[in-house]
Amino acid sequence: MIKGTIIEQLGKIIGFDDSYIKILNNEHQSADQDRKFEILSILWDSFFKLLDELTWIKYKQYNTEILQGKRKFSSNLYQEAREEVKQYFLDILTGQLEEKEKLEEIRQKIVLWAQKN
Amino acid sequence: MTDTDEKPGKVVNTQIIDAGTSSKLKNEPALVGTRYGEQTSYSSEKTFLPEKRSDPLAAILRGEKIPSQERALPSEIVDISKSALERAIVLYQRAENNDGVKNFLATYLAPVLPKKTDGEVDIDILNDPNNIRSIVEKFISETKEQGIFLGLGFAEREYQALTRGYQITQKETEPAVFPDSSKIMYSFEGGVGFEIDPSTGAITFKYGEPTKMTYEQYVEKAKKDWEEARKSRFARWFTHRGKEPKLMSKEDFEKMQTGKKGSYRFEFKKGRQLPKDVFDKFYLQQIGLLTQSQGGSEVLSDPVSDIETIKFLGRRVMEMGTVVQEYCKATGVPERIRIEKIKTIISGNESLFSSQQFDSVKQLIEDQRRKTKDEAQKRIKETRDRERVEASRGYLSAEKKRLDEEIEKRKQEEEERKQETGISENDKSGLLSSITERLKRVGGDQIGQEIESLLVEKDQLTYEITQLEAEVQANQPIIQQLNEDLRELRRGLFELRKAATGGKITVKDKEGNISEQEIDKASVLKQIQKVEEEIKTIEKRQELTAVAELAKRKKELAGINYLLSQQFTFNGQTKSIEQWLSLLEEQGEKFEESGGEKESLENLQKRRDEIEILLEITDPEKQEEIAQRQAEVDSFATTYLDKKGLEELIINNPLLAEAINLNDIKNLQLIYILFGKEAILGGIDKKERIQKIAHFLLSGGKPLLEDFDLNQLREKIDEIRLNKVKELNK
Repeated sequence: MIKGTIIEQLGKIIGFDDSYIKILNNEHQSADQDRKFEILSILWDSFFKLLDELTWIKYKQYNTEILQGKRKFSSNLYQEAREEVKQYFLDILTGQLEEKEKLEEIRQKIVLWAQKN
Repeated sequence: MTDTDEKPGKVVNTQIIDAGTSSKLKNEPALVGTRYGEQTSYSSEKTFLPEKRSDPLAAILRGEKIPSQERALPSEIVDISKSALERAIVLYQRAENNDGVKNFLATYLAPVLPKKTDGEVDIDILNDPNNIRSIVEKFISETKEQGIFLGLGFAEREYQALTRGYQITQKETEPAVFPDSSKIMYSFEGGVGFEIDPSTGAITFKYGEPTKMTYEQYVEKAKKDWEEARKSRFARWFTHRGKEPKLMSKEDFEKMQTGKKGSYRFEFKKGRQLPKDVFDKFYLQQIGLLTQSQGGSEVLSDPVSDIETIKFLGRRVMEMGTVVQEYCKATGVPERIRIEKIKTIISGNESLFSSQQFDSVKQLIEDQRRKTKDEAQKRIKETRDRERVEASRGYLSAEKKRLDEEIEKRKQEEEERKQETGISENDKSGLLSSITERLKRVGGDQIGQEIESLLVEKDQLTYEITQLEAEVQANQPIIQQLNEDLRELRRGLFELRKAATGGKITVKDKEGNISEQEIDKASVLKQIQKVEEEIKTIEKRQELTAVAELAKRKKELAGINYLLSQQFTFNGQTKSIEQWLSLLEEQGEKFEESGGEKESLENLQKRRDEIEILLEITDPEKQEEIAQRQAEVDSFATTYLDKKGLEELIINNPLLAEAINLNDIKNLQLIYILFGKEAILGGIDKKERIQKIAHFLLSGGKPLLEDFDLNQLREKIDEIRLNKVKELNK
């Protein structure tokens, strides 16, 4: 379930502290139309920039995985990386990120344990 | 082709390390390049001309077609990959005495090497130098795309070694323009190409003219995107926020058709330090760029002086550009990202393959989020600060406008006054000081600065004289009697004094008989004292002091009248001083009538100048100029300020000298940073501006002449600006 104002949602994805999100939310609510637009523009710019940057990180990871024989080549590789980042954002918004990260941590430990034994 | 075949330049070691058999540099005609996407006019040939125009993998892999790769990866990429693998094997073979490099290459190639029956990697196969190409083709046939990726990964690793040895800079000669990247529903494809001049090695890297989408295509694409978005929670959230997509109007769409091709040139120069990585050094030695000098030290070939080095680096740039362009295109990377990444990868600041292990990706993502967060917070703060600056600047602008209007009004009043009286407000002080000078010559030093009060004094004296004359007139009989009494008493006193010296006095009795008597000296002295007291008493009578005062006032009035009657010429008009002073008095009365005590025009102008300069140095558009001057202040100090004669010019700058010490070079440097060199060098046409700067400095701008640091300077400017606003708000 995605909650909060657009400022709160974008702030969460970008990674602002809760206290800063609160300040920004208040500033946005009391601002005139120009300032409201400016704050939102900055947040959306940052959001799309983050989306691009994280997609590129994932894309490079996929490339390396193909090189290591762990992944099959795909003509849609970049889009796949982008979808994964979108899902990552969605997990942040729905609060599922921590849960998934914990599960991944456990999975990695099991893999390592299996490799050792 | 063997490993001793065609080489791209003399600098390359006779042992091949280049694009390899399947690609070669065309030396003629002058321009060579590669062209993708739409037809473009800037390239005529392909740099890496594939020998096999059909499916490259099919040609390599036992004649069997691999449809997925045929569609996915262009022949150029396969060619580059194979060449890189060939080079990796050659390097492995030549790395016998360098275990570090040999192990690195063995580990690198291991994933695509055949395995022995016991499951171990057959590394020995790499030791066969006879048919490197067949080894590579065998690798690729057995590992399919993994082999190709391995070759690309190695090509990138080689390129990394070059970017650690050389600084590769991309210069815009005609920047490409792309549509607003935030309009995610819109995209269009362009081409990319390279040109190289074989005689100089100079490369031009061009982005092709973008293919423009029609409005109808856009509408169709937008609708399709929306349908796709409906299937994704996330897309619904961030693309449309659950609402129907709002299409751009045709007019807005046309406005976005701003894409245009660009042109870029590359410059190469040696890095500041030799690469330290073992593989990097080995690689550079093998390709002949890192050699030993006669003194035994290692020397990197200099592209500034060696054309072959430029050519080699140029070819590598083109090769890497081709890899990024074609590979990204084959994997669905949008054009705007692709072009951006070509730039950063070519300059060595980015890579296609992650050098990080999988576990580190999480860290990379967190680092990127932190960076984005910090940048966003900084932008929000900066825009917030900017708004405050704009608000206060708006306030100051309004104040400046008010002062401008006030000054204009005052100037008009002045003009009217001048027409009426012949003297203006500005003339007043000059006229008064001229009159003072004149009166001092006539009346001596007792003439003080209170010239304006002469008329008042004259009036006062005239009034007092009238009063005294009336009093004297009224008391005339008493005055006559008193004067007679005084005469008698004085005569009697005379006789008594005479008797006091002669020994006898003449005494008249009641019957009138006169007789001489011996005097009693003590008695005479007593009488003298008594008469003197009587005289004093009479003299102090009000009726008689009024007469004395009247005479005194008349004398003073005569003196003033003498001064006021002096003729004086000012602004071509000759009048008596009394007439001039009357005019001034008249002006003063008008001044009172029009609002009482007013700030002088000069002060108003000073205040306006201060605000005007403050607005200038807080203008956001001027900040870049200020920063630029701050960056070059040292060269300013050693060029302009060192010129002979400039010192004299500076010392002779009276306007600035009023405000600051011109012998302090720091003052001049900071003036230069804030206002530019004309503020110091002056000149007739700059007088007004320099005067404004001087007014600004005298009114509170001097703290700016303390620190060269740009941040400190900006903080102080902000402080002055805010203080000014506070002061105006009081």
